[in-house]
Amino acid sequence: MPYILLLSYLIAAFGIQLFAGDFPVTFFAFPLNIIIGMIWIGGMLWIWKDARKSQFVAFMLSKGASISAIALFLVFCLVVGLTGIRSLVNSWVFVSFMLYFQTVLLFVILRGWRSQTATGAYLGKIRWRFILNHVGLFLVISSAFWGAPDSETLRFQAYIDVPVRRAFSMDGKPSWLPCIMELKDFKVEFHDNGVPTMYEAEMLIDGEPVTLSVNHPYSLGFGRNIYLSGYDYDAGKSESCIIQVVTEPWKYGAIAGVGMMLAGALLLFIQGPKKRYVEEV
Amino acid sequence: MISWDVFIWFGIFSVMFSIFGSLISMCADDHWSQSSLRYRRRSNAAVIFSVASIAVLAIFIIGLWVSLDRPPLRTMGETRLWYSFFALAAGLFTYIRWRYRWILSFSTVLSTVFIMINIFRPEIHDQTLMPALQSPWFIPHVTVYMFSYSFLGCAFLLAAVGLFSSKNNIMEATDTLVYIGLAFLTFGMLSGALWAKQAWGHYWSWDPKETWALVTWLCYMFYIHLRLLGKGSRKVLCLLLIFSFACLQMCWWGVNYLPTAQDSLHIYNR
Repeated sequence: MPYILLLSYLIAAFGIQLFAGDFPVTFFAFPLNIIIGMIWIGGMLWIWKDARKSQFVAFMLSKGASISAIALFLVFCLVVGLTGIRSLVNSWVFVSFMLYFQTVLLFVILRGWRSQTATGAYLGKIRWRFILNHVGLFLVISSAFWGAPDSETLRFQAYIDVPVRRAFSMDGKPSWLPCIMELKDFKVEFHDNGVPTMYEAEMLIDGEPVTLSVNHPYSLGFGRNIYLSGYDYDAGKSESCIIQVVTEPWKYGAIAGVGMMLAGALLLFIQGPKKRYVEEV
Repeated sequence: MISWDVFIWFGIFSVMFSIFGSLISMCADDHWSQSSLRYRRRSNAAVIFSVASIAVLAIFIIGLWVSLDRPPLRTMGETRLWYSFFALAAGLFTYIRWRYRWILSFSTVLSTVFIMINIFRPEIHDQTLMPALQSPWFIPHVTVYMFSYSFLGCAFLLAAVGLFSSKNNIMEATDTLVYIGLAFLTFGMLSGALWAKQAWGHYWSWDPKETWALVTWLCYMFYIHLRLLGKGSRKVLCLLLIFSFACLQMCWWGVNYLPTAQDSLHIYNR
């Protein structure tokens, strides 16, 4: 029965996809994503507190829920990998699935952060490796998922001594920049075979001199970075470069999650499989 | 002043020490454990020789850094140097923790190959890397992946044996190998995400290489959860490990030939 419900949930998402097209990501920009996110997580915590014996919780904590969550994620990534259609991640099916994945993960974390006996009585020992790996993954995925509507990537072509105030989003919509930017100088060094070995741009950002190069972005306030992402260079004739401004206010959650997962992976290496589980087999 | 001209001597000593270390670890009969891939205890002489081989490379790297007055990260030759160094370091780290029989020999071979390339192909010493690859993330990112692949490669071989054999300790060994391999796989993927943010602006952009890295990661994740939850017969688990390794090959080099992946940011040889 729960699998039929899960399947109907995903089929419903597929139906909406057919009628309405891709998921309207930008519609859920701040503060709507925060409000819905709070309602979702608050609702799940309330269910955990007051309805722990419900069939819903029983299913979310079942082996089948964990296995189906990982297996469906794997199948989805295989489809994207084989077809190369990246826009599938904006589909209703994927968005609905990721909500399911986060829900399973949340309940697994709520149950599993302390050790317990087979009957479910808590022993009180805190399971650090479990917490680092699972909460870390939860932070990474939920920051990416709930933060996607607030993320913005703008690009523009900068010419020497021309101040720029407007740029274009990835789907070509014009938008105001958070600051005035002006390219002052641009350097490229080439290897003998014509391959560039270094390029860097001297910019004025709100009147402040800044040097941009590949792998060295400039940080402009909360969650915003400026990148040198390409150039058009023909010595003496045309000198311009492509500047990218990325705003990801939710990136700090993702960084915290990555840090936790790195620590968790270190513990996986050091501790290896748990004895208990080797003996059971 | 340390320069590439004297590298041959550092290379010879490093290779010699690491060969001694792995031979000592192999020859100590009393260290064999009957039924597993691991020694019962580690050989201190093997550890000392391994540390010496790493130290020789470290001295060369520091000397080169000082004489170039910049971190030696910009050319092909310089990155090969770091591979040699990290391969030996990761090998020793794993030997000390897990005492695998073959691990020191494996890291010796890996390191020696890169040292040989630096000795016999001096023209790569000043072959400059493209700007996106000139980053402190490059070497750890690639080295941990190489390491992960070697563990998961062993898990694959054992799984192939496990399809036809009914020895009980095979799954026990694959579990340990997958845990170590998955830990390094996670380091590789997450360091890649942090680097991608710095170089291209986004942690994750579903680039074909990234997508296949996630496929591989989820495959092994699937395996350890099936094991933790006590699901899946031996045959199914072995087939899953074989499938996972096929996905790993797709991620490693297969994407370069995948028609739907030709816009990948990770293809550097065009």
